[in-house]
Amino acid sequence: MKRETPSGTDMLLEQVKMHCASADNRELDEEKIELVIFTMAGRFYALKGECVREILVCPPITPVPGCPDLFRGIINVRGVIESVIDLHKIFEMADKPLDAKNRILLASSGDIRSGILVDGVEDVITIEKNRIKPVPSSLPPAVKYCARGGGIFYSDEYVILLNLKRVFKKIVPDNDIRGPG
Amino acid sequence: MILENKIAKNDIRLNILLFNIMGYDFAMPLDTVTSMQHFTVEDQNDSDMVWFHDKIVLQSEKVLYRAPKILCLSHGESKIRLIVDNVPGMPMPIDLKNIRAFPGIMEPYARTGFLWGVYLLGERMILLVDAYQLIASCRNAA
Repeated sequence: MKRETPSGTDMLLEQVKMHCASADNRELDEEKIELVIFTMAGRFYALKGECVREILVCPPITPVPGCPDLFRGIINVRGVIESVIDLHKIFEMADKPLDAKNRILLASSGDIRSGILVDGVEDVITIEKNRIKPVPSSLPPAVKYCARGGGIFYSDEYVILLNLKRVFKKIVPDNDIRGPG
Repeated sequence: MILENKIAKNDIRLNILLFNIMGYDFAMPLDTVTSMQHFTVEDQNDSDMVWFHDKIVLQSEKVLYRAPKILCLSHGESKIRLIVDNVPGMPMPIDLKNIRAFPGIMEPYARTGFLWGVYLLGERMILLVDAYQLIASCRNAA
């Protein structure tokens, strides 16, 4: 049977399909991501929550001679030795003495794992992925290299979301890092 | 190699000699140390002497030795005289189960710097010196 014009049912079905498609898109848009928000030299940064295994109050750090100054040293985490990367050095910021607010994020991407020394941890939040926008070109080059996006999603502050793989690539540039980052 | 040989022989003890330079705790296996001598003013002019900080890059700009000692090290035919600091004197037997490898991301740098592992001594982390590699590098440099 051949129909010349769409029936009322066809039009209704079309509307239902369009509604479903837009709902799917909305769900995609509303896909959420967990972020660990921390500070460095007064600015706000974030790492994906899935990359951060643990947040540690800064234990004594033992420097290791011969290692690049991107490493602050090593720490003993319940009998396991973890390296500590100095994010100040990665971002080419001025050194800052350790204080009670410092934290170490135990982070991993693929088979690479390290502690990352930060000035302080603010919060762990969950936001919609679509709130993350491309990074502004005005960022300092060392920060921009490690940034995957940014946006105002914590206390009216601009937060730079970091690409952990890029942070690790500063130390092991030849390594093909697989996994989340 | 030290650790692998020990494990292969099912020998879980290792005698180490501790020393400290500029706040860094180091140790090396005793089986490479043939003797220990006091450092004297005359020794300063001995060109065969190797200063530990010249081999291990310390972050301090100026390295000060407070109680220097000379460790005579040998491995096979190779012998060196190494100046270290603050040696307590008595070697210490340690259990291999308290030794850790460096984290993977750091290990290549540590190994290049003549360090092969970390001994956990309570809260302290003692950096284990690869004496064999150190002796070999001095022999190659000579």
